[in-house]
Amino acid sequence: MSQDDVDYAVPAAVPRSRRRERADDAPADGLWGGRPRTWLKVGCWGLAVALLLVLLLPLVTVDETGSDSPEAAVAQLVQGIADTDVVAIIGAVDPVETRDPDRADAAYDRLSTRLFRRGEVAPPDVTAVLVAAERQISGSPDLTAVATVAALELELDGLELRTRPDPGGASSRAQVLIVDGELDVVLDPARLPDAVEGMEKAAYSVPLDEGWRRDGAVLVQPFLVTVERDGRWYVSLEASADALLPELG
Amino acid sequence: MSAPVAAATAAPVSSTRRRRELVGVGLWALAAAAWVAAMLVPWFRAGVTASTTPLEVAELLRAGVLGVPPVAGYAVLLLPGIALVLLGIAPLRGGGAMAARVVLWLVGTAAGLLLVVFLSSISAQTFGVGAALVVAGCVLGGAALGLATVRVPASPDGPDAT
Repeated sequence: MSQDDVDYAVPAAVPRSRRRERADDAPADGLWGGRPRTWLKVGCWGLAVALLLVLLLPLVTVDETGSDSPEAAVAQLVQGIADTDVVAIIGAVDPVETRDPDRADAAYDRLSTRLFRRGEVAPPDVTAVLVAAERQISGSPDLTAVATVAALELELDGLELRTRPDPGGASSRAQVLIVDGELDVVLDPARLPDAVEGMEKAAYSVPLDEGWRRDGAVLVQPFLVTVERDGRWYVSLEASADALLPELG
Repeated sequence: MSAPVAAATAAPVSSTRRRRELVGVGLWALAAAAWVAAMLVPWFRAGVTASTTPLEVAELLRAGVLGVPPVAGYAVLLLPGIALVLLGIAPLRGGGAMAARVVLWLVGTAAGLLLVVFLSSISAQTFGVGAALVVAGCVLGGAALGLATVRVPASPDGPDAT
């Protein structure tokens, strides 16, 4: 029998893609609805509210800042610096000072003159990375500092602290001495915004118990002043700078 | 017309359309989860934001620091808030819902990507989980846009006129 002699209907060939289009072209009344769709809407809003609560609850029930003891406050500050954890750093500083950025900046500037030793020259490889960072970031000094932090790897080793009463006898103040500890610093040029050819990582170590020197001459026992606010202990940058000035003469 | 006859003559439900809508809703749910999760993890692997999550910064602002009003801490809810509204309206049909969806997705994507690009400009080559989640949320939302249904049932008294 030839093909022309078939006695049954041959369905027209409809491509698979066209069949899918036809299914989509079903009448609008064919859109699904009813209880399943209602439950879908309820489920979507329920999930949205649940996800919102995940973020909202921590914001409503704000954690306390500060620490339980003077030593814990200083440890939080130093560890926060080592971790470049801005939240930990700000949370460890006296809220009276952190509420006013100008006051906190002024206190830090005064304190930093006692933190950075004069007369000491950084190793050449460290200086090279810092210069490269400054060249790449053509913004404010603050922006450059932020960019440089991206190249930093810090590690805190063997931090030991000891608390001594405030010399003025105030029970809501205490001095925390840094008895031992070392901050290992690595500057990685590969982490700067632009790659730097032929530059290796630069590393050095900062002994935290060595004491701050003024003009490279006078050694003092390093300490920070802590203050108590509503039962929590914080590091006061202002009080620390004030207390260090007479020590340095 | 009796109920059995009406049921027999009703237009068939498009299973393909239903599947596409369900996949779209699932993608919006994933996008919302990604944008919410991005607030709970650091966005970069190095730099000043490497140890800090957006939610931690918001909690600190809520505690009142740096002279910033505590209410500013709620700003962290803006990006996930957009994603959660998008999730809520995901099952809705019609031109209005579609327009709202496109506008919200564009605003969320622009805000998220601008934040990632701005922060990466000072902490380059350090993208972390948070930044990846923001981008993933944008992509998932974009894919979900293509699966939404614009048309609505012909009869306003139909089972679902949204």
